[in-house]
Amino acid sequence: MKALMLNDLFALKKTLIYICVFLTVYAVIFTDLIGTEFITGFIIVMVTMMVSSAVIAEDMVKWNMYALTMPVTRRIMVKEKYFLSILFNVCGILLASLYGLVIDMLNHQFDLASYGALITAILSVALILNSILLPVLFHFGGEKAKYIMIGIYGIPMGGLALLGSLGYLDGADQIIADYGQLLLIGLAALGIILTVVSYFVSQRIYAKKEW
Amino acid sequence: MSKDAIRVEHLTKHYPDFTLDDINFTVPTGSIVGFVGENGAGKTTTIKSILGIIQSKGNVEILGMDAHEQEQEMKEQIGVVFDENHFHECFKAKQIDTIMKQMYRNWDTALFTQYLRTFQLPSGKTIKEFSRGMKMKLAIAVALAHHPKLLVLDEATSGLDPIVREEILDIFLDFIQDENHSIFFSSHITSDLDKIADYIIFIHNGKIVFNKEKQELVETSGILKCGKDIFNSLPKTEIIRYRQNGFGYEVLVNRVHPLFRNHPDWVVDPASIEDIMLFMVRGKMA
Repeated sequence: MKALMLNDLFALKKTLIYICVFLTVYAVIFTDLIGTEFITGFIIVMVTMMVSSAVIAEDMVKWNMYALTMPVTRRIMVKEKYFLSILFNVCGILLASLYGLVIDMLNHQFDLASYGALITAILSVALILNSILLPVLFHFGGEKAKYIMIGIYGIPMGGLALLGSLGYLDGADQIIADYGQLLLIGLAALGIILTVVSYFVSQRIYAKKEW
Repeated sequence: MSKDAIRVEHLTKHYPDFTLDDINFTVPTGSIVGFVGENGAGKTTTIKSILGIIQSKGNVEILGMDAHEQEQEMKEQIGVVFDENHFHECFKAKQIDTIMKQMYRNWDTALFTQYLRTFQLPSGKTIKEFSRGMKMKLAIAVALAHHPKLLVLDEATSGLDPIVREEILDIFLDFIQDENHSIFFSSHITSDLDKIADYIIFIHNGKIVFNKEKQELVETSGILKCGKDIFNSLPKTEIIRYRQNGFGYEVLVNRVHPLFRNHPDWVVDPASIEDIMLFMVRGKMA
């Protein structure tokens, strides 16, 4: 599995550097304009999506087919991608936390506890989205799944924006204020459960995949 | 434990428009087996089935190990080369070495570096900057640098110029000097197999047509060029395949058969593997 992880990390090295630079510039320029919540969400989503980039990049060179001629099994290949996903989630948390700490240093009114809750919520949503996306990527391959990916990330965000503009989310602030902790725990639990289910679904898909 | 490097029994794979039909063959240890057939004959499908890249029915044993039950252990001992590069194009040789060190128990960095030097592959360039020949040589270096016992090559010399192909064939001949090493080499470039193969397996439309020692094949196969009278006088059992053209008939025959020794006036030219392949694909049966 180490070899597969190294393969992915080497392949994504340049992309990771670009993303770090981009996020830093973006955070510096836009924090005051659009708020820390959006930037935090952006950081976490950009980093957690890297696992999809890894799958798509592999598909372009048919690395998976070649790797199957080496001492790795399909089970290990799927396991590695989920492990990579956890790794990127942790990176997402760390980067977002770093961002939050910097904001806190600059603005002492920053509420770290709420910020922690925000990170947890966004990460849980990213886990849920990844748990849907990974099996789709394994089944359809990177090229076809790119469009499905846009849907998986775009439709919930677009849907929420639309519901918000139509007034359907007007009571949401109150609900979050009253039941915030419960919702947070529920969201996190859902993210973890779906990730586990997604892992087993991906194993079944990959066991039958052909190149 | 089988003494064959590869043993394939009743290998079958169905697609809507193609079937790999009950393939059976062995690759004896210490030999180079050429797997020849026209484009679309089933060579790559067979290799992918053997390696577990596609699902198929049948039994496959590689180096005495069941290809499914002992997959990881078996793959430690084989090196595979396809006809395309499958590394990320941004990689350099050093990164591939780092990855493969974690992939294979027996990965030998010194040997890999030696192959890079022998093949004159620059360590500072990315794969994107390599020519096709260089990418192929890199793949071969990776396949050899973990001391495999078996090489499986799927059209590994396709698209390469004759000079590079000659270089690569010499490397394979070096590899086979160890009598525990074997090579299974699929190609439609029959001249490569003429040079190095010990056995030839010919596949056509998903079926094995013949599986013979190359020497025997080349020594016994001949092309009889004759007119209608001679053609009509030939026993049908001696006509392997034939083609008719404006000048008469070309017949693929067993040239060591007494029938042809008794007719020294009949022109029977030796047949190359390419000739045999052309006759088997495009020739007619009597």
